[in-house]
Amino acid sequence: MESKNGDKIWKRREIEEPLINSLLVLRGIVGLVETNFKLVKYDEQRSAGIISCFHKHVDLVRSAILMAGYRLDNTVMYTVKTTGTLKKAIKILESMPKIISHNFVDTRKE
Amino acid sequence: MRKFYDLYIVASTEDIPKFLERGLKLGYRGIAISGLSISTREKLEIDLNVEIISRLDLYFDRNIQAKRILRKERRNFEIIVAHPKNVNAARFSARDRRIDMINFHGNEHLFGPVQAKLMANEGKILEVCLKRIRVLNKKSSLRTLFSIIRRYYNMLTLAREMGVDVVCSSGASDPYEMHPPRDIAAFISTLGLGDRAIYSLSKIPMSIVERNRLKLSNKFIAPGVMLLDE
Repeated sequence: MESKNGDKIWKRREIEEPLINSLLVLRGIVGLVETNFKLVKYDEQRSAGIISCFHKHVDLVRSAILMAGYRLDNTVMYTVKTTGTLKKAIKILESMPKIISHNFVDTRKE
Repeated sequence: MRKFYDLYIVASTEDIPKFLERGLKLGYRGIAISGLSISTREKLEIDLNVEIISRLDLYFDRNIQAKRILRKERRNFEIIVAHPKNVNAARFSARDRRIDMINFHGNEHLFGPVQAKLMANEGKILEVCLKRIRVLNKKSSLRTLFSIIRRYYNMLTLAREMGVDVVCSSGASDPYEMHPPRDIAAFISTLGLGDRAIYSLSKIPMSIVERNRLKLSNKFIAPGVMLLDE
């Protein structure tokens, strides 16, 4: 996740709620259950986390992530990488920098 | 490796490097800047591995306006996109060979079965941009969400049924509004485009750009007639 106005630290619950909401909007409760969606790990320092889901519903979870980003003000949420094992996912998460560096300046007027 | 293109970016000349940097980070190979002509692009001194494509957006409700601009500007831009405001304009956009893509943002009701069939026959491409989804925020109601998703779903399912090629672009006016191509592909795939979604960010935009670059080159004489190297 990247925050437009500085490095805002998001709590795990603040992230999980819009994700579940987006999934519910896209596929309903049955769809949510079928995806087997779970926020396995969330690192507040890195503003990044690991989501596990059923492999056939990766596209649905990716779309939910895209939509959830808009529901968090001034924040962009996106998928960094999709992997098949938790071990690799943890490795990718740990390779990410602790404080997200911003190369871009927000040009949007307040 | 697949080459991804974002064919709709709204940026001023000073902001282009920021968009290019962001595009490179997200895995894009090329981005199209709205209103940037070929001559202006050649003056830019940017050294990044992301191509800049020039694009013209045509908003019109009377065909004569469009014809006048097309006559003047066709050779100054690589891609021309029509934003029709009424049925007549939409039909004209589907028939005219100088127009590459049609964007129905804000007038989605114009993309009906008749329009879709005409576009499929004429080989016109439907552009779907993610501008509408940006209306969402923390306070958005379920009703708003539903109406947004319904619009995308209707357009994409109709395009798939009728065999209309789709290009999906971000329509970003801020570097943060750009998304990774695979996320966008997943989104439109979920909303009705299915397996063809990935092509709407890679194969189809690339073919438009290559085709138009060939047409604008000195080698092109007429459709089907080319000047070969000596």
